[in-house]
Amino acid sequence: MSWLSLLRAEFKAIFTNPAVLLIIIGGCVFYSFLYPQPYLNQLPREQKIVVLNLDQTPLSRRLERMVDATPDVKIAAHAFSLEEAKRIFYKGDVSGLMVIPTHFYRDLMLKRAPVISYAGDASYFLIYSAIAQGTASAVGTLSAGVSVQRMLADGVPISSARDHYTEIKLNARPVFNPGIGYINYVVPSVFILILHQTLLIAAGILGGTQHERTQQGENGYWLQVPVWRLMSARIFAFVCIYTPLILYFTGTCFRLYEVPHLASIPHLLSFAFMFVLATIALGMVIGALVPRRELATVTVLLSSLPLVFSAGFIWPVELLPAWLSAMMQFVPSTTAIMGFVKLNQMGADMSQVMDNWLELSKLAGFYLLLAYFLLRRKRRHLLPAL
Amino acid sequence: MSRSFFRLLRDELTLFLFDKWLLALVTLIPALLMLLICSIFENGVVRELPVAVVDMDNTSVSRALVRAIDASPEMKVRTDYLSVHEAVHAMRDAKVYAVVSISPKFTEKVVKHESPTVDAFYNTQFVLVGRTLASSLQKVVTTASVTAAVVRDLSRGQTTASQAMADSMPLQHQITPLYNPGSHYDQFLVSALIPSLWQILIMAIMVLSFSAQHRRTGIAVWIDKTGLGGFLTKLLVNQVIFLAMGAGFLYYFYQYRHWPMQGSWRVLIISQYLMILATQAVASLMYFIALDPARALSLSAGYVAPAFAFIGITFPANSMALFPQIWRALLPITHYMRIQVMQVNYGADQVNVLPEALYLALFSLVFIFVWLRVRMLHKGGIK
Repeated sequence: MSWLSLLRAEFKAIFTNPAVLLIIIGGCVFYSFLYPQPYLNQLPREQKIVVLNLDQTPLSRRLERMVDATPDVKIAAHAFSLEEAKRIFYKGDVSGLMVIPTHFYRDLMLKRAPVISYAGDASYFLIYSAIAQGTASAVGTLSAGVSVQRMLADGVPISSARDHYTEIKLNARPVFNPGIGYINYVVPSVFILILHQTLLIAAGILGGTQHERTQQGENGYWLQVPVWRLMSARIFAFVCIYTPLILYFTGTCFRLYEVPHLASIPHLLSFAFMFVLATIALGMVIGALVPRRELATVTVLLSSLPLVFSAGFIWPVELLPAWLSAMMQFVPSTTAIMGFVKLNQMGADMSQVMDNWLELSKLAGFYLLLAYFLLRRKRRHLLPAL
Repeated sequence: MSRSFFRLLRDELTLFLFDKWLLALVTLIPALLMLLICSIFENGVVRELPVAVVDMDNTSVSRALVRAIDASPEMKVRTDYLSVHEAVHAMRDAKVYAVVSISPKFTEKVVKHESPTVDAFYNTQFVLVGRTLASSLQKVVTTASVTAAVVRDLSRGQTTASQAMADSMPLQHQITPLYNPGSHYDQFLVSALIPSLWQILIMAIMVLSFSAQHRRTGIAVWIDKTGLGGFLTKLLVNQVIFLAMGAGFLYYFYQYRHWPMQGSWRVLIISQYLMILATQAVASLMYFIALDPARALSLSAGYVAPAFAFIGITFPANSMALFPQIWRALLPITHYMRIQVMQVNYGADQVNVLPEALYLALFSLVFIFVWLRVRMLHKGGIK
């Protein structure tokens, strides 16, 4: 069998296997739509709180208005006693509570540093930090305003007062995702994982299907050629299929979701090639190990959540135990996600993702060898039976 | 129905011996997954994240500031970068998560009361890390700033320490996180991740259970011979297994780890049962629609794999658009997690739990579609 007709047989095997097609085309398109859905609004906004204003002076009401004006927080209710505030909170209509103490204005004038307290529902961290941020920024702004006014009262000129209301200033700027949006945070990495998982399942199911058919006595084309030839054709076929898919995810989809993509196409594709190679190789290993093809799907499905949280883009790798971090390096997605994020989101150059690329190439080499030995061993077991 | 309940029971139990993978999925694999997730969050709080500090002044106050940043539990200072450019380069390489730059003459300016600015860049590609660092840096700088002001005022000798503090910070604030007082990420995330994995396991195990039955006797034969009784027994045996898993993780969270638990165990277990029933309904439907295990699992994967994000724990549900709100209502885990959070954190009255419990109960209607599909296949003379 010539290599070209082998390749044609491989393509045919892929495109006539409904389970494989479902996962590649259906899976990629469907997941590219579904996964970003929860985050479409990018930021949590207007978390509702109840305010207990025990002071009721104009300044305290001004503070309320400032808090309400932040995009993070919305004052949904006013309470006039702590019991009432608690009741409103437990009913579930609000996620936070702010208390302006009695004599707030008086204490402020007497320079007694009144304390504004707020409590937020920390069962939902993002809600809690939105409330914390909204209220803290309003209080901080008012506090700075008071400092400036006091300086003015002491005779300091306004320009000087505006610059010197605090001893040391911090100018902190968010970079790489300046809007602190959740789409930009999650989507780029999850897309790489989708590519990884669907490719593993597809290669696994293909291998598993052919294994099952061999066991049923079929003498398919995959047994007619040396193992390494079959592997090379399979790799070529999947690279052809997945390269446009990678461009779909990192080009079309990124543009659709307005996610920045800083890497040039040649750099992206050279990194992507090694990623696809390592993943196909691992897929072939899985395909050679599972007795039935649906087990490839189960294994990959169950590994998704652990892979997402150990990849380092949500929960930092520095906080993972060393053994776990080392173990996860054996999965191509871990290194690949970091490499792609560095290239596309953080504007790293190729020299900076070299470690990731080399890591992927080592994995590719290792899994290719392993797949080769496993497939050859399987063939030796099965061939006498035919 | 020609078989007694005990024969049906025995058949279901021996199915686990017939299919070793099924056995692994109900014993070894859930334990491994739990171990993995708990290990990932072994460090429950964010700490010692590498931050590059470029101190171009290197005198008393600037060095004190660098020490203060290092002393902060969330940050660990890396001083090996000689320029901001080099440090930002390292940030692109994900070697540090923030770059702080202290300008020359910093100490001089502080002493002269000229309010110097400390510049910082923090990486918000990793939002959780970025926001933590932003708030930690703000805390360090504010504390340093207030300390400098207090020292300056006290040195003038006209005031007391508390008065000096009040002068530098006219308004103070105090924030209390409710229900998760230590702001532990493990409590927050693990208590939602494990139930999500549980939902995936329920789906996978049910589909594989039907498919194992098919390999053993043929699904058509099984339905013919055992009918409703066989189906219900299969559901029941697996319910016991899934409930054991559920009770297991609840015990782990709220007894072993002593996470706060204000509610009723009875409500939680009943809700878990409803959740299991709901998920089994959908899994059965997917199996009987696809009939092929690989296809049924792909369908199930499409349904439950992305579910974690839709629960509303990481990104609040109240800020989601319309479609994700609809999709999440179709996932049993959403309703169960709302009940779990309400019970565990708020100790909510049983009456508040009812709406979500009713949603879960509604999923049982899906069994009607399963029955219709089975009849359709029967009439068509299935495999």
